[in-house]
Amino acid sequence: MVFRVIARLDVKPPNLVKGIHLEGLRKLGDPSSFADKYYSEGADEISYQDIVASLYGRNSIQELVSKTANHVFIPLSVGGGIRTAEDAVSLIRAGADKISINTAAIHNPALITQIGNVLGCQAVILGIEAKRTNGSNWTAMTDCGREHSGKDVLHWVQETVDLGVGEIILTSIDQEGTMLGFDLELIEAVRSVTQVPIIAHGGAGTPEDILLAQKAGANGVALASMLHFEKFTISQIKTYLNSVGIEVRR
Amino acid sequence: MRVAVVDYGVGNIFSVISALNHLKIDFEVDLDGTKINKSDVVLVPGVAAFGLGIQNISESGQRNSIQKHFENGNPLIGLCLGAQMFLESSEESEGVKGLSFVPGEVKKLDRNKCAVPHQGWAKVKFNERTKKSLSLEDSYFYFSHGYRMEVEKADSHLAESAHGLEGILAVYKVDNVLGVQFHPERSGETGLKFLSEILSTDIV
Repeated sequence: MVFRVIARLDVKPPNLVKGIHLEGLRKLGDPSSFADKYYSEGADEISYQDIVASLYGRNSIQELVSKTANHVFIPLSVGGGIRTAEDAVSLIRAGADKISINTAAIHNPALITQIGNVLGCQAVILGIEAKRTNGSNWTAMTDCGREHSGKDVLHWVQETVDLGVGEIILTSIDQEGTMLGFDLELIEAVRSVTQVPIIAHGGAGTPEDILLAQKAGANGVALASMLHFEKFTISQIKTYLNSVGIEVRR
Repeated sequence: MRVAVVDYGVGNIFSVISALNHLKIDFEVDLDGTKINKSDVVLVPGVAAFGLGIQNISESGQRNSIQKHFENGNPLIGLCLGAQMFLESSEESEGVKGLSFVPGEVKKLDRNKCAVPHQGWAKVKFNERTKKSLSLEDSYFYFSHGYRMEVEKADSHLAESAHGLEGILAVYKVDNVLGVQFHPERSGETGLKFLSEILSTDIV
């Protein structure tokens, strides 16, 4: 399977933002110009997340999705504030290829099936915001890492996979924004309970971190700080992965 | 040459339109079947479940126009679900009859052979004849599907791919019908080139 290098863009409309542990957001500029840049550098996918949509109960990312899809010809996955199958369909019609849901799925797991029945399971990404509690346990958080759902991540994955999840974007809140490496144990743990594709997110700082995530069972990585702060380019990352024998699209 | 893009309410219509605009292709979006008879090529995109796709094009009046276009021997191109709907049936929606322009069926990807669904980029291998007519090399294209197409006539297989141990029919052509399992509209510059070639050559 070709390993995917995905550019992750957290958005607080109209700005691209980046924080640490999903907090302390810095404004970085116009998200679509970042998306253009990552497309031309060879990103395999763009992942937009409206990180305030759940809090404010609004859907303002649609315009940005269309603006990007108009000239960025790689898959776009979009999350944030999707509460109904209708929300999902309008995002797909606006230029998204896949939608990701977290908060609304935790409040109403049937939503996963409802969206799958309309768009097919392949278009449904389960977003997981995992926070380590004690030892090798993680709690699934909602509302952009602010609220405890009380659900154990591994149980939650097992519960939802049967509902028809096409992919998991697995965020480690503990590592997110730190550039200190992925929570590899978390990736391994989730891998052990499902064969659904896993996109690891949170903590990437070097190409070697990405190799470790692949070895832990990830099918791709979502990169933010590492790209936004120009630590490495996508092309450098793919050259490295290729040199260590991981198949990437070039 | 004019293309009718069949919009049946749930597909990734914006992505397809963006790609066609970029390629400066003359097209119209059809919502009810009325644009189909006035076009040379019918393009059916798709990000949806099989049963719902068939239901929507039936209720919109598009199904009859597409059927007529097919019977007149005019070219049809299907992308992903669009390509699957041209076949007879799908395990995604048991009991729903496909458009049946092409003998074949849609099967669930086998969990014992590969991770389901198939998400991401995969190398597509074209047969020699197709490579020449589309002036394309084997390349990576973007796939996102939980079901694969089975079309009997082996000489209709223009391109193949693989996911784990599962073989994937990537492009088929039977008479005036061309089906594509991947998403050329989302497969970067290579995808745009592929789309431009299938719309400008007489492959269909």
